[in-house]
Amino acid sequence: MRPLRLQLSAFGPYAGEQVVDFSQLNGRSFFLIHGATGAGKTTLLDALCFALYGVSSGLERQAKALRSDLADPNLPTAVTFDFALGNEVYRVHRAPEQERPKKRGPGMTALPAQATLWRRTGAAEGQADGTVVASRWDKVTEAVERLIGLHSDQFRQVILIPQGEFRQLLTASSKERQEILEVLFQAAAYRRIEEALKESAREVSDQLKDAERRRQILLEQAAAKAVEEIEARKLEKSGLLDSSRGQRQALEARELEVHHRVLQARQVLEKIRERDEALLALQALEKHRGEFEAARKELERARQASLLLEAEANLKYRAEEARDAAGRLEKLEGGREELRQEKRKAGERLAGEEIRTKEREEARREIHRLEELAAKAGDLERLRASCRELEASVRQLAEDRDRAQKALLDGEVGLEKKKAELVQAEKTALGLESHKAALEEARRRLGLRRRLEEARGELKPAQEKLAAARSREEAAERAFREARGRLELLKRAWEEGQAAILARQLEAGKPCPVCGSPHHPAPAAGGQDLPSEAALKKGEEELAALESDREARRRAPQELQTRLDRLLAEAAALEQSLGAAAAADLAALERQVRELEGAVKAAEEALVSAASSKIEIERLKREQIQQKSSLEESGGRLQAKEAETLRAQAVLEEREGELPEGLRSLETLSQAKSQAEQRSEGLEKALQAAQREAKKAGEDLAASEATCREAKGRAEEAERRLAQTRADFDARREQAGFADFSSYEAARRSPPEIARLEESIQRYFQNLHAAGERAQRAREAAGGLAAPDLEGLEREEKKLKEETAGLHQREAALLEQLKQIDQWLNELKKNQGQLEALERRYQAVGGLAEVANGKNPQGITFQRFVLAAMLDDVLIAASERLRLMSRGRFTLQRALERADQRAAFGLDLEVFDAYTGTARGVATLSGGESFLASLSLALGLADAVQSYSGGTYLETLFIDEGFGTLDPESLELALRALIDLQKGGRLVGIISHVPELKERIDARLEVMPGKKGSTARFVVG
Amino acid sequence: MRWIHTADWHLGRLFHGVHLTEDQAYILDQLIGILREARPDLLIVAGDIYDRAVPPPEAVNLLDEVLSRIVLGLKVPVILIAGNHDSPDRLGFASRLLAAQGLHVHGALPQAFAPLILEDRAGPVCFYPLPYAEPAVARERLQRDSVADAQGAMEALVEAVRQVHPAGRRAVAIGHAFVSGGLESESERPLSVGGAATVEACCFGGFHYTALGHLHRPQAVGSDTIHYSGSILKYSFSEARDSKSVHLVEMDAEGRCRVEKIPLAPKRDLRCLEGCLQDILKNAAGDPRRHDYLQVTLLDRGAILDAMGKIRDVYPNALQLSRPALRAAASSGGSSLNRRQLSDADLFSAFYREVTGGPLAPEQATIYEEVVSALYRAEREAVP
Repeated sequence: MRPLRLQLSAFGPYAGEQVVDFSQLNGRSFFLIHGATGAGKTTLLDALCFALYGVSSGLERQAKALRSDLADPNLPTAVTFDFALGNEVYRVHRAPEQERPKKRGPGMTALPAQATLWRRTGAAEGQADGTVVASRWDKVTEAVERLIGLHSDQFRQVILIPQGEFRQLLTASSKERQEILEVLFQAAAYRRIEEALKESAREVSDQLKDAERRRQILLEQAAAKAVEEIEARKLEKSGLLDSSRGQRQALEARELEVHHRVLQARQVLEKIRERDEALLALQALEKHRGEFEAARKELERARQASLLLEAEANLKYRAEEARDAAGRLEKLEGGREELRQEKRKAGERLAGEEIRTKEREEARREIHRLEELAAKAGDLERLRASCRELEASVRQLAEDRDRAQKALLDGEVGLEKKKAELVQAEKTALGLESHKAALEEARRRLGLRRRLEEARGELKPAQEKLAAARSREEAAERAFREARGRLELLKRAWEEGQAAILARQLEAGKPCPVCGSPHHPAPAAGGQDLPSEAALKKGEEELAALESDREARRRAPQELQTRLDRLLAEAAALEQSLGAAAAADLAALERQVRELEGAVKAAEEALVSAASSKIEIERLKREQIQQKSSLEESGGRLQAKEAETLRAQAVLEEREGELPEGLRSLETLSQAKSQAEQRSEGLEKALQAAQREAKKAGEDLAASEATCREAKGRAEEAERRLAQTRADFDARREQAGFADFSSYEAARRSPPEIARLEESIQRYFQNLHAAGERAQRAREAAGGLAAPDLEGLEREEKKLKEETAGLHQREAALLEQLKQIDQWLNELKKNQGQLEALERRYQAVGGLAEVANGKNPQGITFQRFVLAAMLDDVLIAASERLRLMSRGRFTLQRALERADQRAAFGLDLEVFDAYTGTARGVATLSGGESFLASLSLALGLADAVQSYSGGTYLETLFIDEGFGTLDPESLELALRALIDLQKGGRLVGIISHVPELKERIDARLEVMPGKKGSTARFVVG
Repeated sequence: MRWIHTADWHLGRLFHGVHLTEDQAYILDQLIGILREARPDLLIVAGDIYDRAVPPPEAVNLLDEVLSRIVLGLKVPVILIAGNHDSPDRLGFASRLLAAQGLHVHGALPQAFAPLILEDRAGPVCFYPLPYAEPAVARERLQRDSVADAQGAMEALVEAVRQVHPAGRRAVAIGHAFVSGGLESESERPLSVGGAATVEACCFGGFHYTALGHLHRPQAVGSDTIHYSGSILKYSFSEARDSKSVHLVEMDAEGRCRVEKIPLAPKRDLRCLEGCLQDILKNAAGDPRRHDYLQVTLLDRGAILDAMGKIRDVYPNALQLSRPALRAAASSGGSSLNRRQLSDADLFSAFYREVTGGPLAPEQATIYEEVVSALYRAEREAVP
């Protein structure tokens, strides 16, 4: 199995889509997956395992917890893995159960788990997926298991060695190892061979048992213990059979003879009987002769009567016709009577209606009256309406007048108020000027007082500054003086020193360079420490600096003094001008100023409001005049309207009197009118209806009478025809010889009856003839024969027959038995042959099966033998590598315990230590050593499988961590071993965070964690 | 102009679990002695100073001690380059500061090649350090996309040097590579994981002397101006028969070089012993070099209990034990049959013989055939 391309979406720490394209390795077959802890290295192998088998690589991660928390909720978790198996290319896609936000509306829908496996051999990169091989979660897992040949557990021990679990293969139990080896080397075939051998041995054994049982059954059936018994019985029976046969034959001959005699006797008896019977029959027939002669006569008469049948039928027909016609006539006459009754009744009703003419006229008159009244009522309504209108307008006008009055009163009150305001404002404005003057004065005073405060404040600091400047000046003076003193000392020293220098050069008798004297009574002796010129210079410079400093310092106090004087003068002046106010509180003065300002403002406002009040008053006065005039106007209007109203009311009362009480309104009138109209209409309608009815009744009656007349005619006709037919019939009857109708009837017979009569007569006479002939013949045959003793003969015959039959039976039984015995003997012989053959075969097969299944001196099965040998091969390859990696110390071998023979072919592993010369179990290895051992074992396994034919492809190996347990030298050796693998064309991928490896291996898959999930990319070269 | 050429110190190396730092200190002491006597103008160390990218503290201290004594004590300038075992950036720390004192360390590839120029009576000699760089790094540093392998990288480096070298001057190259034709031993780490990473000798044609490191056997490859000085200690048992040395090189005014090998004698040598256990133990008493590192090959056929323990009693530094006789026995006992080529019928008869001691009878063989072919037939037909 060689990985080609792995694509993850929202899987583990990979929040988005991540593609790992193994072709980017450019043919390198050894690469390192590395990254920080938790970046997602093992997740890549998880994804691989998940895609193939639906489980993760370690046992600790559940398939369902694989979705990344950082993933976009619309991106489903899925893995797509392309891999090659030999020459075939496959793609598997798997997505676990998960939730996705609904496309419409809030909330999540659950996506079920899905998995698909395609075959893609020959397809290019971007093409469609290929032919589907399986498409359900477990079906895909099964298909993958079949293709790769390994279950997920085995995969995780052989191809992908997960973190912390590399020891699994090494420390697995024999049974597990056996399973893995079986799968890898397809050694299950050997077990099947074992089974097949066992099976066939069992078959043979079963067959053998069957044959044995059969033999037993046969012997039981024969009720014998051995074959010889049966044979003896056979001989006995044969003898019995022969004697029985002889007896039987003799009896049969006798029986035949007797039989003949019996037959003869029977014939004679028969003839005699026949004769007697025939005579009896003839007699019986002769008795009936008379009857049949009478019957002949009857037949004759019946033939005659049949000639009249037709005429009788005709008669009947006519009689019916006449009856029908009479019946119809009756009915019609009945109907006519009824109609007559009807007509009479209708006439009565019509008369009743016509009488009521007077009522009808009255009704019409009422209607007219009501219409007239209606007109009047209309007028009355209109008058009433106009009266109401007038009253309303009167009320309205009264209200107007009242309102106008009220307005007038209000206006007067307002005017008075405004006048009072004006007076007040003018009063206030008067004080404006005086307030203004006071305000100015107060402000000035405040200003001066402030200035005074300031001046006082400045005084103190100025004094202090002056004192400081003064002291500095003194200090500078002192320093200067000191420096000057020092410099003088220095100068004197220097001079003395110079002198001493010069003095040193003095020699007695030589002139002194200073004064020229040759005597040097007291040469200057200077100190050793001469100040240098530089020191002098420095001193002078210092002095100069101090002097200038002193000058500067002198200036400052003078300035400060003048300033201070100035300040004092100013303060004094201010105090004078302020006088008493100088001592006043600053705050009080400010308050005063504020008050005055307020007063001034108030006065100014009052002035303004006075002016506006005057204008207002004028306006109010004008309004008042207007209101008065309008009041007068509305009063006049009111009066006029009231007069009009009274007039209208009088007219109304008059008109009302003209109408009757209950009908004063239009409504009642119209109601009454409609009632009257209804009544009139009703009467009219009744009259018309009665008229119609009467007419109809008359018509009906006339029609009915016509029909009656017709029917009567027809009935008479029918009667006539009937009489005629009857006469006809009677004539015919007489002609045929029947005196009256009843004799005709008696003679009449239906045609079938006639035929029957004929036939029976004929038959009787035939029978009679035949019986006569028979009697004659029988008499002739019987002649004078006598009756024999049939019974005796028959008895004898029967006895003989019975005896013979008895003998027959005995023979048959004996034959049966003999046949049975023969059968048994044959079967037993066959059975014997079978048994022998089966036993031979069982020996051979059974022996093989036992040996193959472990019943042999060594105690191992065939499969175990082969597996042990294969494991040896694996271990040889593994040991080679382990020896290299452990510097020649360790090799792997199968655990061989000499004591227990069975275990000699066991599958347990142990480690041989060359240093101590003994072997010990693999569990005694340290962590690093066992990692090396597991690695060697995995590599050895892959080597061995590769060289066997068969379909398991172990072209890939992934190792997840474990290198951290190795010391640097072992790491070097392990790496060399892995690098060597590349020559075998195998792809090896390791996950490790050991930094050495990162430097050594130049093909890397770097996994980098980020804020939004991890990303992985290949860095090759 | 004379200089000492050495290489492949591999400080901090582990050898079969033993730290070799003490032995390396001993040898480097000898080297300092040689320097003191020979008084060369320069010491060249051509790569693989440390054994690992992050060396152990003892190795770092040792290098510090040695270089201080050489540069500060003997006042001999030293030029170091990084090899494939070193981490170039770590090694090159403070190289500019150290250069002022006379220790020229070249770890990573520089942007511009500046030689170390030393003067002798005949004029200046340019020493060009070419530290080891992986092809990918060289590609990037020199900005030459055509570099695909070690050969290309070396060519590019030499080209860059040629561009700055004034013609006519004597030139010496210091490099770390595998020149084709050289003899490897077991202890070199391959330069690329899978595949050769060899360099042709003709790359160095323009130099008067090429001081190389990487191969641990002292040799000249390709021409007599291209030399490997070899490692200072034996680092694998395959080198047990070699002797280790440093090269003392004299170059005259025309650039012709005379090479003298000065041998190095280690404190504990690497040796291979072979023989029966009893003989070895007997001889140990009279062996003057009992503390050497040994690879012992026992020829005994039988099982021996605690062989290593017994050997270590007399040879305390025995590092590796091998028992070739046992190996042969193990491999022949178990799988004398070449299982891969046997059919299952043959396997079965072998099995039968093994477990019952007698051969398979012919009838049994036929029965076996019958059963097995019936089984295969049934399986074939059962496949859906």
